[in-house]
Amino acid sequence: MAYSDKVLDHYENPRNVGSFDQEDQDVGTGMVGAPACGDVMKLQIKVSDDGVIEDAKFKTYGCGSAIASSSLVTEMLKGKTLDQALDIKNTHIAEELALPPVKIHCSVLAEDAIRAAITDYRSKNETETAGYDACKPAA
Amino acid sequence: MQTMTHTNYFELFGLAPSYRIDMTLLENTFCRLQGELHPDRHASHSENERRMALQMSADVNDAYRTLRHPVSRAQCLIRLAGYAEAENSATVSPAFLTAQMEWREAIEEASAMQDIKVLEVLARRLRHKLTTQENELAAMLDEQGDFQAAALRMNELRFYEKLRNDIDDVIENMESTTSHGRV
Repeated sequence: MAYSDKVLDHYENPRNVGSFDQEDQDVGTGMVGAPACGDVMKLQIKVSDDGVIEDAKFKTYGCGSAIASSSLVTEMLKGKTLDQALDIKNTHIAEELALPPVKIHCSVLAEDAIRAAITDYRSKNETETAGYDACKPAA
Repeated sequence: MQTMTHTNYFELFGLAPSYRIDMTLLENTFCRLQGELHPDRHASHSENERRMALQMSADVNDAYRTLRHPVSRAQCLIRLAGYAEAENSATVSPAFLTAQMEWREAIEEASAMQDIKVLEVLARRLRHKLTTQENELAAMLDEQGDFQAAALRMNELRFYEKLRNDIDDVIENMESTTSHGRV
C-alpha cells in the first residue's frame, strides 16, 4: 500500500518523539492500543497554569500511519487549550494525512490518545485543586 | 454428492465448540474434507453440484484457518455465545499497555545493540507469557463460561502475538545478517 507524502514525512521525521515524567503534576499521559493490529501509542501533554498545552510528546509502536497520526497530533496540540484539543477529531487527522480507509483506525487511535491524556491530566489536577481549596482560609 | 450441513465452523469439522480442540483431528478432518470436495471428484456432476462443492470447499478453508489459531478460535466461540460486542468493549487497561510499551522498548534496545542473547531471553519469556494467557483463556471459555473476561483476555493475547511475531522477525533478520554478511 502506498503511503501519502505527508505520512512518509511524519514517519521518516517524526516530531516530538519522547517522554515527560509521568508523575509530574502538569503532565497528562494517554496510553491507548489497538488489539486488531497490536499497536501501542503513548501521548503526553504538558499543560501550563492557564490551561494551555505548551508541549506534547509521543511514543508509538505500530505501522507508519499510526506513527504519523501521533506525530501530527503532537504538532496540532501545541498552543491549544484543553477544550480546543478535545475538538480535534480523527477525521481532521485522516484528512490531513490523506489516510486510506483501511488506516482510518490509526487516526481514531490518535484521537483516543488525546482524550486519554486530557482525562489523565484533569483527574490528576481536579483532586489536587479540591484538596487545596478545602485548606484555603475563608477570604 | 452428499451435502454437508453445518451451523458453525466447529460443527463443520465434527468438533464440540470449545477452546481446547484436538489439533490432529482438525488436520485430519481438513484433509479428508478437502479430498472429498476436490473438483476432480465432481467433474461429472451437475453445474449446481459443482458450484456447491466449490462453496463448501471455501467454507472448509475458512473454518480451518479460524479454528487453527488461538485468537480466531476464541473469537469464534465468543461470537457463538452471543458476546460479539464484548470484543469491542473489552478495553485493555493502561497498566497492560504500559507493560506492552516496556516489552517494545526492551526489544528495541536489544535490537539496536544487536544483542541476540537478550532477544532470545525476551522471546522465551514472551512464549511463556503466551502459554499462560492461553491457558487462562481456555479456562474462561471451556470451564467458567465467562465470555466477557475471555474477550478481554483474547484482546490481550493479540498484543502478545504481535510482539512474538515482531521479535521473531528481528531475531531472524539478525541471524541472516550475521551468517551471510550485509547485502
